[in-house]
Amino acid sequence: ARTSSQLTGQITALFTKRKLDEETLEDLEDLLIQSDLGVETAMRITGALSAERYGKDVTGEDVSRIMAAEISKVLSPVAKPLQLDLSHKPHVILVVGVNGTGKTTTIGKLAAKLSGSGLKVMLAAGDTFRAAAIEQLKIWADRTGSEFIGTKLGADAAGLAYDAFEQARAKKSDVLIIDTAGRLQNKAELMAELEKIVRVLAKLDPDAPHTVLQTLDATTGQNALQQVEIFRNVAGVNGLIMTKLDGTARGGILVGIAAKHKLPVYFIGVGEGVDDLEPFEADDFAKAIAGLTH
Amino acid sequence: MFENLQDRLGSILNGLTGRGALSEADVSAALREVRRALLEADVSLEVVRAFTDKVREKAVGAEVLKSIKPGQMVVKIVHDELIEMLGSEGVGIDLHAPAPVVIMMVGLQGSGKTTTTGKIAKRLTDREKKKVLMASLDTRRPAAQEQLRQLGVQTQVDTLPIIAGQSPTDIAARTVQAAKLGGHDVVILDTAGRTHIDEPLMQEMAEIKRKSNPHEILLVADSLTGQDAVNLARNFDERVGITGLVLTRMDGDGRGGAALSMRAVTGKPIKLIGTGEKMTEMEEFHPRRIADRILGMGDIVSLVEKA
Ligand SMILES: Nc1nc2c(ncn2[C@@H]2O[C@H](COP(=O)(O)OP(=O)(O)OP(=O)(O)O)[C@@H](O)[C@H]2O)c(=O)[nH]1
Ligand SMILES: Nc1nc2c(ncn2[C@@H]2O[C@H](COP(=O)(O)OP(=O)(O)OP(=O)(O)O)[C@@H](O)[C@H]2O)c(=O)[nH]1
Ligand SMILES: [Mg+2]
Ligand SMILES: [Mg+2]
Repeated sequence: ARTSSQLTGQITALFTKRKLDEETLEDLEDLLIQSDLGVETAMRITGALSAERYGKDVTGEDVSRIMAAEISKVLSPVAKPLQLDLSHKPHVILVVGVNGTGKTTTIGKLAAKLSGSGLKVMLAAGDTFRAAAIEQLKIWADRTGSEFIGTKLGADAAGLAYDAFEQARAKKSDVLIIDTAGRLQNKAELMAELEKIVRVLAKLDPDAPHTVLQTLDATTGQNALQQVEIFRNVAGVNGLIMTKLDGTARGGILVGIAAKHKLPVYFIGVGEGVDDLEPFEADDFAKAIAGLTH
Repeated sequence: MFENLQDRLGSILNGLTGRGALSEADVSAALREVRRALLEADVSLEVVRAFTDKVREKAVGAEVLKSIKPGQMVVKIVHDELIEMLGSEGVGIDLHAPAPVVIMMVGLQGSGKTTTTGKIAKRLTDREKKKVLMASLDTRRPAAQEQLRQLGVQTQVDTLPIIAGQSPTDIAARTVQAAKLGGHDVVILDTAGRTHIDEPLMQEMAEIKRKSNPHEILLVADSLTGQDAVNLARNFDERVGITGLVLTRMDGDGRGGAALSMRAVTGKPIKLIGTGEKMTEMEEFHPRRIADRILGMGDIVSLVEKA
């Protein structure tokens, strides 16, 4: 919130009756960089702005609006609601991502939404590595009235995923959500383990996992691009959720990710509570980056 | 860590060192590239600006440009400024205070506080033969206290018995009390993650500090953080007065610009870096070595220093 109002102030200050010139474009680029868009994406956006308005009189308001529109153009195609194909019974959702990005919490929030709409949900504690990861998910299962399956710390995660799938079938769950341990995408061994989870699930149903969601932390910088790149290749990520947008980070990296990967962004996390999961709205997100809201 | 920056800066500066003569324009061109390399490594913009301004100021001085090896002089200036930004000497955890010495861990959600608490406790126990007591003040996140309890079992370090329903400040007071009775040398307080604009939680953090009088307050931050690094570091520092930084996930892909940013805006030393999820995966931070590594040109610098 603070960065945005700062941003608005800066833009307005820059553009009280000024012509759009090189120097101001550079300043704008800097403002976008501060939202984590990255140099390249920021240059692309200011380039578009320049093409439209170079040498013309512009106000701060104009500039913010045009920038928001440019950003929104990139984000709109990926802003999609999560729709689960319930002909798969259960529909298996695998949740992956780097350590601490919000996988387990997001599963809790998602379970609440799904069971709220009348679906029978089971949560599987596939993080068998981190201390108390199993207990953490168990609490979310209890909170959201979901079924729960877990094993011991140190057990084989792929084995647990397999058992969970069988049990969810037996219990006629509509949706099975499998948590996984956080891992950095540059750790080959851990990524291979993730690949194995996917492979094992496909043994029971060649289409499983039906949905693979990756959580991205809004405070993450340029590394997030590579996170998506590699997790997508290894685990077949087909949807994204950006968490922690209740802080001051704007999550601008999503613009570059949307442009490159075109993966749907289903939700944003805006807090630690069970209801703090909102649909991703391209316009709002773009406006926040361009300093038009908050 | 920092490999990315190392590659980029290395090649930019290599372009300079070979040259016999340098103009102001050459320096500016190189600095534009340096700026971009730093931004792409997630160094915060304001820190990048301050950095390139300082280098420019020093590098366009007449003696530099007219010297026999102007390129090498510029590389040395960049190197020295990098060290200035990172801090020159390694600074460890300070335990020079009456026992029990209280260490308080703070930071954003998921930055690695609990894991780092376990790592520090293990290190102080194993290497410095300290008797450590850990306590989780995280009454909010599901199973947060249980997580620390399990790490205590794993590392064979005492943890404060969990009493349901106690407030974080009460747990802080109880921990210090228990440490006095238990003859512990060091207390580590693991707190709940909080965003730096969450006013009630920031107030709670200040209250915990008042109740426990920590000798060290360590901001645990993710080395993969982007531009927000400066905001969060500044805010935490303003609210509780941090004594140092711990950068986690340095085993990530090697940009690590956040480390530079946070040190630069707070002036507080990076005391430790996390290099993995295991309890032993933590290292001391040696700024000079890192600066050398980032530039990948320790030799040039020592050459210039000898000359
Ligand atoms: N402020 C805020 N905090 C969040 C959000 N989502 C998750 N968190 C917090 O971030 C921290 C990490 O969340 P987890 O769900 O444990 O993350 P994870 O990816 O499962 O972590 P690992 O399993 O350790 O890799 C917790 O303290 C969560 O409460 C969000 O949208 N906003
Ligand atoms: N690869 C790697 N992972 C780390 C490191 N430090 C912590 N982690 C992982 O990051 C995740 C979050 O760590 P925690 O210690 O739970 O973080 P926290 O700050 O206590 O989280 P909250 O209490 O929810 O705010 C876990 O999956 C840890 O294993 C590190 O240096 N490298
Ligand atoms: Mg988890
Ligand atoms: Mg914790």
